[in-house]
Amino acid sequence: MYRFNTVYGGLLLSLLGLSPSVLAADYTVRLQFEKRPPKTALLYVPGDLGEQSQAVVDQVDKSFTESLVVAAPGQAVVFKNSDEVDHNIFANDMKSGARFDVGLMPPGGEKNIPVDWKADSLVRIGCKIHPKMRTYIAAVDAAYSKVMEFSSATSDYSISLEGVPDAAAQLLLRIPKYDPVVIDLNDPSTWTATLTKKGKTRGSFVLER
Amino acid sequence: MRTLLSRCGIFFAFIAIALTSESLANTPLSRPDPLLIEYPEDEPPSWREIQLGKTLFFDPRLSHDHSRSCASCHNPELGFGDGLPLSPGSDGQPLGRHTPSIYNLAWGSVFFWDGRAATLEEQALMPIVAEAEMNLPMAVLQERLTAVAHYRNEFNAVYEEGLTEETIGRALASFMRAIVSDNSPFDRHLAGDKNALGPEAKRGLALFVGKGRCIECHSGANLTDDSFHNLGLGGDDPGRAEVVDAPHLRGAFKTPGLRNVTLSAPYMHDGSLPNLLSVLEFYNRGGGEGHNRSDLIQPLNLTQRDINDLLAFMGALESPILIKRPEIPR
Ligand code: HEC
Ligand code: HEC
Repeated sequence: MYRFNTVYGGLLLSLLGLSPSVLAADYTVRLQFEKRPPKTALLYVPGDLGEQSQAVVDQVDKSFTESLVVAAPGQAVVFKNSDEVDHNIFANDMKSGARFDVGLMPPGGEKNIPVDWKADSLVRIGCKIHPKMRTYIAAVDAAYSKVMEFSSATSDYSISLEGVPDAAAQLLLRIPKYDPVVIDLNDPSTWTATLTKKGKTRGSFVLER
Repeated sequence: MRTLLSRCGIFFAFIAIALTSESLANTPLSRPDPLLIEYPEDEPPSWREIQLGKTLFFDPRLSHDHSRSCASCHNPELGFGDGLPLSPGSDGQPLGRHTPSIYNLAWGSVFFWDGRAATLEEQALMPIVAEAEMNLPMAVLQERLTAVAHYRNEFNAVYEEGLTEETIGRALASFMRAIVSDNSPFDRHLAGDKNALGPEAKRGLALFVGKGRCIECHSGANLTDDSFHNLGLGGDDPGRAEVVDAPHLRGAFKTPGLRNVTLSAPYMHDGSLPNLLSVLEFYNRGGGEGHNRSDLIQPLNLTQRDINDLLAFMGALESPILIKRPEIPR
């Protein structure tokens, strides 16, 4: 019954030309890792609500500027080199079929690569010259997304999610090498989850409103 | 007034850039931070797993004719090298590349001179099966180890899966990640001990990050950028270009870390430079004549005193690791 109302309310508002973000909710996510935390994670609401901003992967000081970039499948990722040295970005991910080589890119270079691999995938991106460099591209249609970064010294995190569209039905958590977590936003009884890596417990997830 | 202010602003911004440009591009030298090690299981291995890996590392069962262990080439008493330009292979002929030391690889992101292994687990199995090195099929090794009660017990105690190809790699990698050198005079200097370095080594450090431009590649806690560069050593080894399809990386090899570098002469991927003095003279000349040399390699105009100071600094990176050889189980 409750869900009915929200959806209808959202519809009504969009018909009236109001932005769906008017009906938005704030949540808090608590993450606890039992061992050393991962470097990065993505929380997102799947869906195609309006324009997704242009995905850009840039490089400075022999590192990527972002730990994770969200890109809509079918669109393009812009690769840039704002560094003082050459880079050679590539991906070679069997599972998603993401295989590309941006080639040798001098400082100031720029190149578009279409996201033509499997949707809903998380792909590691590297540099052939500087193997320490690492970032991820999440090929997802996201109505809302939040990239989180963790430090190896801290195992507990509390993250606020502001302005999650009220029409959102699902919240997904993607962490490299971890098993994905799917939360039903309409059913608070599913708002806790175990974080697992290849099936082994690695931490916990709690969503609060 | 406004123009004056904004001119000052530009002026100060300029100074700020000038002051930081050195550290902007390169990770500063620092002490190795255990929190930055990425363990495959997200936590350090148990003592027992490390001991198991250590026993395997010294066990000649890992070679076809029981003649050599990992430690034959990576000898802890010889800086985890063997003192030779090129180690003899299983057929007695010299191997294609020089045996590197293996200090502080726990922080490494890519392994071998050409970076063809992405993890230590993967790397550890490669010399065992390599025909020129230990020349032993994995199935035979598994049979050999299973026949030994000690290995059966230890593998079953440490790993849910027991003794498998994968757990052999994990045990060896766990031992190698424990080969950590982090108590050199330079580490004590970084920790604030003003007397840790003598005046030569202090000047050597300044040259290392300044006039000598070593920091361009030998950066971070282990004095390596874990990247690939061509120093113009020459020869026909394609190096990194054999692993990734990138012709510009022809003749480029991984920057070796410099911790305990004083212990592991001779040097370079081809073992062609017999000592650290010859390495510094090589850099001072502007590297080798080989094709495709990196632009980062330029003549340095170092004086004899500069060279001595740099040698003293490399000496201050020494913190030997004593390893008691394990008993090889029967
Ligand atoms: C016959 C001599 C020999 C033996 C035996 C040997 N190695 Fe090596 N090792 C080498 C050489 C030569 C290289 C460099 C090869 C290359 O980069 O192409 C190397 C490279 C390595 C590296 C990479 C270091 C780096 O900085 O990337 C590691 C780690 C290593 N060996 C570990 C082992 C282990 C573990 C064993 C036993 C299972 C072993 N080695 C046995 C000669 C040997
Ligand atoms: C352009 C990057 C670069 C610069 C600058 C550089 N190095 Fe190196 N260094 C390397 C690479 C790459 C190797 C291995 C090359 C090979 O074997 O082909 C190496 C090898 C060495 C070795 C031999 C280590 C071993 O285990 O074989 C020493 C010692 C060394 N460098 C010291 C220095 C010093 C001192 C300076 C400054 C005067 C310096 N390097 C500047 C990239 C660099």
